[in-house]
Amino acid sequence: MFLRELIQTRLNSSFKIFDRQGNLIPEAQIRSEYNSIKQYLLDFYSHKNECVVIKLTKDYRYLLCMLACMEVGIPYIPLKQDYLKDRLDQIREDSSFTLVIDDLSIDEIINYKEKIRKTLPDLSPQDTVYIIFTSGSTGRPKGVVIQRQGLENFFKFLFENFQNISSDDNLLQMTEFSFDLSVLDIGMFVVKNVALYFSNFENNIFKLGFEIENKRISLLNTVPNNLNMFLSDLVAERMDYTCLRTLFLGGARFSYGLYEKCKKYFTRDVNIYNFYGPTEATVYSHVKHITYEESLDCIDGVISIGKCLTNVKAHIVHEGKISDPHQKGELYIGGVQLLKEYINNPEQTSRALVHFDGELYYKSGDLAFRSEKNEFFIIGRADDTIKYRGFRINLLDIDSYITRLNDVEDSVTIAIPNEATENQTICFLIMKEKKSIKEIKQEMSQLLLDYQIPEKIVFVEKYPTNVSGKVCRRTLREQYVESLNKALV
Amino acid sequence: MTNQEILKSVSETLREVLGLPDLVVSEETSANDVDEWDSMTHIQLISAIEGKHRVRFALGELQSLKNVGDMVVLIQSKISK
Repeated sequence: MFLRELIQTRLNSSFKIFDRQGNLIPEAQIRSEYNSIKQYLLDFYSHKNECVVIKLTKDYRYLLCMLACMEVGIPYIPLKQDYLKDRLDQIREDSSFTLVIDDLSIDEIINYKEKIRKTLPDLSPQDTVYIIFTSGSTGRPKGVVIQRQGLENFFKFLFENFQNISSDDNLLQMTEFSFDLSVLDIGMFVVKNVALYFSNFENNIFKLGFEIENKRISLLNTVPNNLNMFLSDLVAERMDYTCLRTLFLGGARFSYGLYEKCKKYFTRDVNIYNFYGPTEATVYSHVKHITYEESLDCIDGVISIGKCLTNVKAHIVHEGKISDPHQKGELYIGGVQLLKEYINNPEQTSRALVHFDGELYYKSGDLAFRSEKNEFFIIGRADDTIKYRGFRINLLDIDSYITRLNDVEDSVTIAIPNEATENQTICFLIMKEKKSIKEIKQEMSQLLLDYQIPEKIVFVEKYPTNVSGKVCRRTLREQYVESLNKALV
Repeated sequence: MTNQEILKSVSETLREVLGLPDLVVSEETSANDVDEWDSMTHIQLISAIEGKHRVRFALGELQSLKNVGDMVVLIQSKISK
């Protein structure tokens, strides 16, 4: 019920929403369009298991459709406006959605006139609120089913924390709604009543900088890679960051290199939060408020993800037992925010959700440790642990050490199977200052054991990224293998 | 320097930065037409052009660039001053 009340309260009181052209949309127009969408959904609604695909251009109407689905109680699947048709067919097979709201149908929906006034249906906390489709390791989209209780818990956490955020804040909505990082933007609007500005930056980082300055953005929620670009010298030197007050980072690793940049460009007045969590734990399970004090923010170059959100549980598990502080193991996440299931995929659901210590936990696949203060630290993917010359090494663990070198801006190490050493390790480095391979290997030897030092060093200017801005290690591996094959021809 | 000369120079820089020696560049070419032209490449491109033409662009000027033609006009306006 909490979610319904929140949405109703927000839309019945004063708020500010600016569309992607920068126009302030009058509240009366928003309410009228919202009520039409709600009535359309209510008339459409006949059974709880029906769901709706939303694949609109990212703008305020997309938000209204999601909020209406949440209030009415119809599960929605958020997709990008240009989502591929064959992928959509695969989603149709799994979820049997019965309605698609797209740029063509939305005009009819916002002008919809109710036929019979229906009351809102009864809902339970276990009902589905949304289904996020992630790429999935096999290439077939994998639908993560999120329950109302999970989202309500997440919104309650936002409500009870972040007291410094209010209706005086301006949030630039950057992230696609198909990526659950954007649920935090929705939460900030619903719970904190921040003014929402839909971004139109189209991957132009200068345009993004201009939007931030021009709209006096105080709250930004993005992936670390976007912030990293944003703080590159060429952009940073012509930007005025003084309007920024809060930065939410999540969805990918917050590197030590970026941590140093943040300390260089921001003062403690800028609140930086490092969020962590798989989609399966309803957006985020952990958060760390960065203190700018290295001894409190990181251990051995790994930035803390902090403690669990309220009603979320986590354990580090090694060989079936809870690990001691600083002992590495797989991160298990439990509590009220856990997914219900992977849609139409009971095998995958039973593999991911396990009974541990008398409760249900999601095996995150992330290798982690915790400190004595019970703060958590992610080292890498458990899959990123490989055998090399008989030793077990973790590639992201190696990267976290390498990024502590003075002249290294970022490091991504990959492995390629190799008969002689089981794997060949290749480290792709973005440098602040040019160095020779010999020099850099010499510096690495001060931090890494000899078998941890990557065999091959490749200097690059950037990494391939996916649509969310995350570094795509698979593409990096494919590009490298392709370059080797070309060289052999 | 004529606009045609600037276009030739920008095209060369673009091919170098993107690592695509055979890329055909016109005034209408934009980041949407070339997969390799992403946010990071765009930063490198601007940096290379500023160095080559000894000019400096403001954030407001950079944010409105839509294609190579816009860039040529902007460079021309800077070097003519």
